[in-house]
Amino acid sequence: MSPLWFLKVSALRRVFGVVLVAAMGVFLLMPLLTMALWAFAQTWQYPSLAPTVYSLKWWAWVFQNGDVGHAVFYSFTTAPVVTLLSAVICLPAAYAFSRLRFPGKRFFFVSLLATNAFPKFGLYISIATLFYRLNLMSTFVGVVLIQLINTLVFMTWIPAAGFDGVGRELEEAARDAGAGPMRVFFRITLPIALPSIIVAAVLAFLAAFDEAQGTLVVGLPNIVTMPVLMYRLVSNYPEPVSAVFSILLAIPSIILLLFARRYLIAGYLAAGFTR
Amino acid sequence: MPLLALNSLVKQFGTFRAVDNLNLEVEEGEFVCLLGPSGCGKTTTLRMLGGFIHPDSGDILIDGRSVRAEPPERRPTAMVFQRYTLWPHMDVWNNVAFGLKLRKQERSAIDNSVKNALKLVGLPDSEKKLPSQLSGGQQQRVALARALVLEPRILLLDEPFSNLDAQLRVRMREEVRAIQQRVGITSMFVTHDQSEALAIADRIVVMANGKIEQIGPPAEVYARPATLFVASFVGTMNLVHGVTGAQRKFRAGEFEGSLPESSAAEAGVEVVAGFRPEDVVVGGTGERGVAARVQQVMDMGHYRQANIETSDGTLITAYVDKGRPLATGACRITVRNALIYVDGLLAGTSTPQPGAA
Amino acid sequence: MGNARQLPGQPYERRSRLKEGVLGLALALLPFAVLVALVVIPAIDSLLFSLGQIPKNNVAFSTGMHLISSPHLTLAVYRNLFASKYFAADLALTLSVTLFSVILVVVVSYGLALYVRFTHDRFSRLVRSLYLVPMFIPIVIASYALITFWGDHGFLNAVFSHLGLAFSTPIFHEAGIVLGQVWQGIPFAVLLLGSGLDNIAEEQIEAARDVGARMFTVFRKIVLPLNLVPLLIVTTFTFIGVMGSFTVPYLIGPNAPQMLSVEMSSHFGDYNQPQPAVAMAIVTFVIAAIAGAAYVWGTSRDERKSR
Repeated sequence: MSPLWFLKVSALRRVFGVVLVAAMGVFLLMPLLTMALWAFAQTWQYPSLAPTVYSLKWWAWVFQNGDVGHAVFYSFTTAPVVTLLSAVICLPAAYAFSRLRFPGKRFFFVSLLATNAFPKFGLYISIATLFYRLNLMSTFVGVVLIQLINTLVFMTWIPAAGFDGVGRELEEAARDAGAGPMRVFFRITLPIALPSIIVAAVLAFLAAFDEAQGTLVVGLPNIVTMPVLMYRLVSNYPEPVSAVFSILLAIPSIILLLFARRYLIAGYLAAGFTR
Repeated sequence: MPLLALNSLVKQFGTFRAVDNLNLEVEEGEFVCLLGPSGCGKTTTLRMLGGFIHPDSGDILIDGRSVRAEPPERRPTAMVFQRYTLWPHMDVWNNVAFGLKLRKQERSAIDNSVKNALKLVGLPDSEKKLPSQLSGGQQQRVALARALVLEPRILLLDEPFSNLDAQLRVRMREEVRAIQQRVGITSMFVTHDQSEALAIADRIVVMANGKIEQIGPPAEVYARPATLFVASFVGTMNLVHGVTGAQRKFRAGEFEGSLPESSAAEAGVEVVAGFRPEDVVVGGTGERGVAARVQQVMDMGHYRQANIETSDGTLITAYVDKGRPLATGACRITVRNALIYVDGLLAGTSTPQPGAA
Repeated sequence: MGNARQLPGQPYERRSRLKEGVLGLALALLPFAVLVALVVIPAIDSLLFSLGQIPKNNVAFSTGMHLISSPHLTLAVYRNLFASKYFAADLALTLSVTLFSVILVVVVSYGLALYVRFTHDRFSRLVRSLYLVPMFIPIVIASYALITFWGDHGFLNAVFSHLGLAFSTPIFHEAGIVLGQVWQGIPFAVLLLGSGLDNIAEEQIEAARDVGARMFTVFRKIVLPLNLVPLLIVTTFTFIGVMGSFTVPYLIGPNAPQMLSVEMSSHFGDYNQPQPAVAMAIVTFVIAAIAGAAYVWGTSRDERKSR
């Protein structure tokens, strides 16, 4: 019911709306669509606005390629493991940041930001040398650990805000009715904070799934994930291959988008960062 | 010419008719109250007046000029909101001076106006305070100062005291009324609290379902509610259902009486008899009146309330002076004056008698 | 005395506070430990290496070319770095790209957030769905898609040539990097700014209009001041993100000058000069840390105010 004062004339407002949506569509979506078209192209010569010859042959090529199968396998095994591990490490900490009093709370909370502030490449080089010493190079565990770094902020900050949002009265009422602390946590606190945790898990999964640099440094030659393979494909193969692969790589992300859209818009992300 | 005229205002939200063909005229200096339950359209009407909602049809005239097309920033109205009124990042001075600064007045003139406005609302020397340092009542006073300082033609108040505690609410409404009279500014006040409306309005506009049920001064609205809705909404009213009989008589519960002259004569028409608790006289079993039983007596401070049940099961509330005797148990009740409603509209008054058994 | 009940007194409270503190600390230490092991220790290793301390068991570091080794901490590596021509150009490019990206992200995202907040028709609903798109496309794919669309002889070029217009591609130029960063940065910024706008009660805006403020004044005097913390967060996080980004500059950026992260990678890999590479990383971190400090200062000031 908010007054539409932003643009007074309703016809003008509609025009503005159309123009804005069109501009956003062009800026955000068109590049993705042209790339998707490439996936079905056999020949696409400039200055044609669409492929001149369509074909599915590159799809067949991609699906039959052993490297691709290998990369898909590792992508879909490392990312879930990373998300789970991150949850186990960070969710208790998130609860502590929200509910418990202890010294240095703010310091520990903000320090996780250091995972983002240090330029990743420099970090991965140093980590690589550490992994050499520990025999973690080119292993599943090594890749999981590298991908874990990017998830720490999401998995701590956002659920902490989620736990903040569970009124103490709700927990106290449960204690009053006879529930012990563990039961209160699993029956009351966790379910109410669940939307935040879902947002955090989705973002963590995507951070792990899309991670390329670190996995490149640590995973080669044995462990190759889809984004790492993408780097190689872009440079060595014709456009349609990269396009096909991009679509494959984007599918899990898009599925998660449709699922988590409601939670994202509802402000759980923002609550985590403005805490 | 009335200062404000609302002509045939209509506002619909989807299939819900919030304001249904509303007509109202307000004279200069009047303090008019829009009274009604939630969803009756009073706030929608006020917000249309302020320019925050566009009417679907109808017109709004201030000083004879249509303001329907003007946005809030151009209308000669000023609103005091129900909550979140002050801007939290500005101190009191800046909150009140905001509109004046927009009009590019000189600093010394602004300072003067702000000082006078704050003095008027009873908060002198509070210029430097932040809203977070003020109590709820003080914040609303500053909001009032902010509205008045612009010297609007009409002051709009949207249930500004409903978030304050009961005693503060009473004090604030009287102060606002006093200020309004001193300044002489035409005002429209929205509330769902009928005692508030009765206490301070020049005229009350009772609304329900987007329509006006009755317009009139508080005494009239209280003493002669025009419809059954107004009767039950304003003050406490005992309502007893009955039916007309032969020879212009009616019977309602244990009471019977003569129909008022203005109503038609047929028998078998449904009527409702309404009478105020203060018009119920509770007497001992030896006196005349309808046989009944006092079930509960509640001490309300300066009077007592009796919950009474007549022999046919009708529940009646009565107010009894502190001095008079009152106890639970059998009694006899008479009614001094009753309002007779036919088809939901007031037909007239009657003095009911105890009916034949 | 024997029947006296145990009243909750000071020693009991102190004990339970102690237990709470220990538990909290233990839980918070889990992610912190990962941080220390995987970030802090390698970072310190790098720092020491950049200050002339060559670790013997680190093959990647110790077999580099042009190594500067010293028994005590030395700034020689940094002095060489700052004196080199390529570093100055790269640093200028990095800062320039970061600055433009942050400004554009803030302006575009704030505009979108305001539009969605104050308009409630089907277009604003569409906008709400659209602005989230980049969040879910892996940056490698996005970069590649931007290249096919904006690049020389790409789709946009074809459209322009059909319309008879000249086209100059931003791809492989500085503008291309900014393009990619803005594309990627919009969702987070709009979500945060939008959430801040949602926290401004409608009545505060209406009150401003009621006293005569027009749209722009309302924005300047009411909306902007009440939405400062989200703005600070968006600015600092976008700054840090762009400064340290690799994929977009690598795929879309020019060959020279390059953004520091790409230069780092070339020095480490192709040129086999790990020491300057690590020094560049430290420099980037210091700049990013300043932005991080701004974030901490800004949010703790706000937190203290609201107590």
